[in-house]
Amino acid sequence: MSYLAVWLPQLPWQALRFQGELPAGPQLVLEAAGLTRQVVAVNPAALRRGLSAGLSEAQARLRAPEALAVARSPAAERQLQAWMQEDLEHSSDRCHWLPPERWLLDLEGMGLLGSPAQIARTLRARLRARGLQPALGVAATRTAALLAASGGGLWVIADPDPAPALAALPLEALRALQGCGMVGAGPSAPAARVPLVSRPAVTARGGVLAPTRGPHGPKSALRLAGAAPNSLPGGGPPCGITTTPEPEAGSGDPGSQPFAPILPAGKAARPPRADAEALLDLFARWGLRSLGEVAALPPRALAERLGRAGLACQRWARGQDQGLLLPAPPPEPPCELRQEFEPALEGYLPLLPWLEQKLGQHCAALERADRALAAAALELGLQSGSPWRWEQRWTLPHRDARRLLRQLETSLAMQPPAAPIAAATLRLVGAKPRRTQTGLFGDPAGQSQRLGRLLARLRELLDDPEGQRCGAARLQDLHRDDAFVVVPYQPSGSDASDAYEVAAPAPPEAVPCLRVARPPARIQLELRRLPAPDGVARPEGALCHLPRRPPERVLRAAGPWRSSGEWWTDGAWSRDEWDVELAHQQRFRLLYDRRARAWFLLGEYD
Amino acid sequence: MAGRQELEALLGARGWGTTLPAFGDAAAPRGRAPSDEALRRLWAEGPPPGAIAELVPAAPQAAGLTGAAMRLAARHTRRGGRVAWLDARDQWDPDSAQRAGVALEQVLWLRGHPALGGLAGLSRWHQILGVVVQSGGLELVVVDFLAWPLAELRRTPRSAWFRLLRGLERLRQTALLLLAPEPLTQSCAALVVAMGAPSPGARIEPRLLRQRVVGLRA
Repeated sequence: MSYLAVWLPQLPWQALRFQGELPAGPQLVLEAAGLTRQVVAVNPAALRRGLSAGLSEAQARLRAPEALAVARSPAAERQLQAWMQEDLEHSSDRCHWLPPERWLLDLEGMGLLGSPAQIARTLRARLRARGLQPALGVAATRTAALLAASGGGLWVIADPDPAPALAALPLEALRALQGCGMVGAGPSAPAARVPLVSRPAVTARGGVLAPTRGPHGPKSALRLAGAAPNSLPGGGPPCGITTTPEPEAGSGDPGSQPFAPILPAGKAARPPRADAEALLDLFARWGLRSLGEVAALPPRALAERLGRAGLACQRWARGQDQGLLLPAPPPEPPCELRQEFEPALEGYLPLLPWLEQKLGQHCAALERADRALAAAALELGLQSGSPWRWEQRWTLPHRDARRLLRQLETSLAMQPPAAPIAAATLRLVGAKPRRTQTGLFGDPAGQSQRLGRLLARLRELLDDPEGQRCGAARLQDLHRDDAFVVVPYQPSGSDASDAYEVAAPAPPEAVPCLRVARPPARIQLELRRLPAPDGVARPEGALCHLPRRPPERVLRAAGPWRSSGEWWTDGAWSRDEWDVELAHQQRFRLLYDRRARAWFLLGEYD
Repeated sequence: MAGRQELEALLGARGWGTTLPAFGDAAAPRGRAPSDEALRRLWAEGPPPGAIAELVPAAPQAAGLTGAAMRLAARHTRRGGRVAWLDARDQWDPDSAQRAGVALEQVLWLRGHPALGGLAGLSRWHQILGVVVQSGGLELVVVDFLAWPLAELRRTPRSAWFRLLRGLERLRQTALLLLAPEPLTQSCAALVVAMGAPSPGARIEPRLLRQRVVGLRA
């Protein structure tokens, strides 16, 4: 088992260099940070001049006035990351990206490409040929490979136990793992356990932790009550552990025990990175300078002081892997691909190879990212100036490049461009792929897909692209009549044939249901009496002229239900609603608009 | 009952889906009229899957059809069933439906619009109906043709209803409830119920107009 780690230090600068040649001399990559600009990457020449990321532009100018300042380009970085991902997959089929600038390759089973060291050398030569300056590390564990890569250059650790080889690395190397999201992923809350070591503190076992000066320089030392000096497991280098007799643990003030956990164990499953920083700072203040010194600490004493986070940090210092590697998802491929053709393409056939290549690459990238295509659009820039557009949206997202190419080819053949093609823009919209049932109790396989296809077909038949005439109604809590919205139809998945009869509440007895007239039809009402002084026009006995009906007298009327609203806008409404009964027990809902002084038919009760 | 279903399935596979008495007759208990039993089963269980039921007004101005259809839809949606409401004239009132007990989120509401009128519009609605029926994922499909001009409805070819019935019988999952000014599907309907008050001022009651008994079709 061996792993290869690839690191592209100063990625913003390398991305710009990957795009094109940069002149010699110190270079700074700047990014706006509030009102000022900040250095986010530098080249080796600038590093030698003492510049580094994190400086402000003014600070950098003071140190190297002649340095070339370049603006950061996130697009170039994304392009480099995508290219790296694609290129590294030629070396291993298990390539994980640890954003933003590290990649981890599992070389197991890649013997046909050579030994791990040979693969690493080949890869380094390939990357250097593209103008990149990678750092590579090969080791038996992922952690060791990443730590080896952080040293710069190419480092192959052939020993199955990488701890001795890593022992000389400075403590700062652990920050490389922190950048990958590995350090700080312990299961406990180290921030609550990190002690303030400026004063002696009583440990849970009655010992005292105090900074002391070790025999080999200004080192801190751990002094443990009851622990034999230099009794380190694994025979690591001594780091000045001595013991002094101290009072019993129970005799001290409990409140003065800084190692007592404030948070219960397991509360913080993934402490933030600031905690890991604090852990590394703590190690530095203890006088630990190398990974070997951290690896040699007694695990039990370390656990008592720092909890499981401390132990995790020690395992990383020994180059041991912990748990499964959970890499970040690969970047989603860009959604717009543009190509200009010089000279312009005559006809659409020469365009197809470009489409085939781009669609193949894009769909492969979508598959890696576990995404699919929801829509695609092709826009051709013709020499005549007139645009040629094609657009397709799928109910069921897919990533079948051949299918998409076939659809494009058919559309191009049916409506060929009228002039030579000068440019082509392909826009692809990603979506979450649709899952099918793999278990017993989920949605039956394809059920939701069939429903989606049905709704799409119905919208097409109803000429309803906005989905306002095909969907489920949802009532709105408004005083206005007919207050509802049409939302996408997403019924619950239960089947009526499987439901229990007893669980279903019985529907109410027959209630009068309204058949709504949309929009309300204006009608004539010949009132017997003039409206009252309060403005109420009573329709009893009035002669009602309804559409497509002979005039009839209103036998009974109930109302008015007065409502008004939005008087503060142009759409103000103020109306009286009446339920009236004509002959043959026909009942209608009428509306008297008091602003327009007109009668309308709102609907018929049926 | 299981034997009947098995036999129906076998007949359906041979294309003789309507050979057996479709609704009501076979299960009518002694002492009760078949028509009463059919109506009781209609309100209690809904229209039978794989069949067409029609609700028509007993008189030109009779009321109660929409309320009855909503009651049937409410029965389905309350059990989690999916219902499609083909509202050809855009007259369905969600507020009334909710008061009738319909679970709105279970109802697929297909609203007509003025452009979908005339014979062309009617043809389009039949197309929509065919798509909905053949999808097989809905338990009840209500088609509201009550406000559609009767002259145009009468021009619907009989073959359209037979084709629809074939689709229903093939899956035997969906029941079709048709609201129309008069019986349209003729022999394709398993049940035709007229709604109306028997006398002025009386309560609206359903009346069984026709029930398919035995129809041997190849």
